[in-house]
Amino acid sequence: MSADEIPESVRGYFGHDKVSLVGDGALPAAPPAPPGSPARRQGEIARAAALEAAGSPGARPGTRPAAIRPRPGAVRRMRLSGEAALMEQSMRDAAGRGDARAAPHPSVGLHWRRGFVPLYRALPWGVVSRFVTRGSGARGWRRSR
Amino acid sequence: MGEPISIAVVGGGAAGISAASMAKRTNPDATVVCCTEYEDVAYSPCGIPYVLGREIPEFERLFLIGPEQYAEVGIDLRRETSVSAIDLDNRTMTANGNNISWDRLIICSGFNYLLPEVEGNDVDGIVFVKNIRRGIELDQRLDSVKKAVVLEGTPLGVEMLAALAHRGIETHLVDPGSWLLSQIADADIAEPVQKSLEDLGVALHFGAELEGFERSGDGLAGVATSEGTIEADLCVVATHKEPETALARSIGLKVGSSGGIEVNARMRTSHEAVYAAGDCVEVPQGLTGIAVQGLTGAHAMQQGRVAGANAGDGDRTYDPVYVPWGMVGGNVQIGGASFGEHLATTLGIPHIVARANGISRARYYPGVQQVIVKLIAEPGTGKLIGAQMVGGEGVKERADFLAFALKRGVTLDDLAWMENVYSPPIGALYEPMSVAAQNGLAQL
Ligand SMILES: Cc1cc2nc3c(=O)[nH]c(=O)nc-3n(C[C@H](O)[C@H](O)[C@H](O)COP(=O)(O)OP(=O)(O)OC[C@H]3O[C@@H](n4cnc5c(N)ncnc54)[C@H](O)[C@@H]3O)c2cc1C
Repeated sequence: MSADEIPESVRGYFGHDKVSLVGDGALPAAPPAPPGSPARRQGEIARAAALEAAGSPGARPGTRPAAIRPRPGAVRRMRLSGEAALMEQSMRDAAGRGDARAAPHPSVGLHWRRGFVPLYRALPWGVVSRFVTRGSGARGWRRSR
Repeated sequence: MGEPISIAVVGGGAAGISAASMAKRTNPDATVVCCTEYEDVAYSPCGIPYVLGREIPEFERLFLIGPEQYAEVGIDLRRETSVSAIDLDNRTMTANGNNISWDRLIICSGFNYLLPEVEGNDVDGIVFVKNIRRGIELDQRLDSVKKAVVLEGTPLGVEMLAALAHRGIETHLVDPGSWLLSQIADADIAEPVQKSLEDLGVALHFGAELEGFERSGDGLAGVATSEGTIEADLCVVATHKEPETALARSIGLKVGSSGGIEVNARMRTSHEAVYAAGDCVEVPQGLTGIAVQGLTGAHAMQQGRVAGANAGDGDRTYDPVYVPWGMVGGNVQIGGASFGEHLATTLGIPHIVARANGISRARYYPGVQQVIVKLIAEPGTGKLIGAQMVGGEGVKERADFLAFALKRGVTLDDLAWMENVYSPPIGALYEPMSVAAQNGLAQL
């Protein structure tokens, strides 16, 4: 099968030099971009440029794709701490049973561990889930199709 | 014929590129501009760890389309172009100092790794794997690295552990959690991956909190943790994926409880002319409606397509997610869908666990491997709420299938009686998912 015979829907979706040529049993194979293709050329350009820049000082795009979390609002703060407290407790329980190699390093304060976690766990899921969905639910969605 | 509108896309990752392509395909008369800070588009970042680990021979293979091919289909692709401001009233944005007008805007600004707020976090030797060109630079640097630390056992962290170990580098994981992939996987499911990484020589430090980075001259000398200092000349930061929402917040778009931009099922934000997709947004988990963010490249690509179609005057919706996931850790495949036992326990969701140790091919066929399947189901009804798997092969297809089954509300009874392929080289007579379901029925 030549690249031209690949249905437009597939070529448009993946790029025609990705889906090409012939595999076992005359099935279309999906080899990497072949030499001379635009994708391959771009790969060679990228590699040469990156190697030339390597080791030289100065920030380049994506040198530090890292960020400190923006100051969370009340809802996100509650969610972050609540989830961390519950998850860490569940890991501590697993470690206590010998099911995990180590207890987690605590990231939330004692009040979350000693106050929030027991309270949350005492409530049935039917009750808790309503709070969780109200606080952490996505808005403006149908549940499913 | 579509309306001759202008559509601007911020971001050239999986979401941005698929949004731009779909917008143009849906509305060929639209002007589509796509801006990205990076030098390249249409490459697979997912392949970078495997080139670094020498499993893929060269970076060039990760490029999927050449940039000129976007011009051929009428997309104005602007690389190394940073969008610094958006003006909602005038419907313009500033990109590398130039004004670009738009009728519809699609924000696909993606994610950043969460930067550890500790002493020395700017030291040379702390690296992030994201942009392919920086990956190529890192590849060269790895030739002289003797000892490395990977910060956090996230999916990327696990891939980088194996990659560094393959390069013969003394490799350590520092993770405050109790096991690998603890945000998504169960401890027993992660254990074979941990063992496999240890077989490659990786040292795993769980329950260890990062305390700082130690310098020697300009470079990194060690990583200080609550469990002591680990000598290292390189640290790969593979922390949580934090949504990049600075632009969205600057124009007052609503941001949700996960930190992602709020969108509706058409991927429209709180502003009628602005769409968003990919790792910068949050979408509902299918069973609970809880907003989740920072999913996978596959989710980013599909969300981008929905946003692009709608921005181009089409009509598509995106469904709540059941998040099939899977990967190779060491030499073992691990994956799942929706909730595992650990997450269900964490949230307090009542559940039973149905488990089976199965095999991937007929037991006499060369290459047969174990596949462990855990199904998590609602007590009483047996309705599936999640799954976890680990094994030598066949995890991805099962994860995809189970995510779809979850979406359709299947029960353990349905799975216990499911049909399956039996052919010695590719599947055993007893399908492990079905056996797990049968085992679970006894507990209902
Ligand atoms: C090393 C690595 C391995 C991965 N492995 C897998 C995998 O195995 N499976 C999988 O499914 N996914 C994988 N992913 C995908 C990843 O986890 C994300 O889900 C995916 O990259 C999200 O795509 P995105 O387009 O939303 O965001 P990003 O990939 O973060 O892209 C964001 C884009 O926005 C641009 N941008 C941001 N702000 C601006 C601005 N102000 N102006 C202009 N441009 C801007 C950036 O330049 C970039 O092009 C991997 C990613 C990486 C980096």
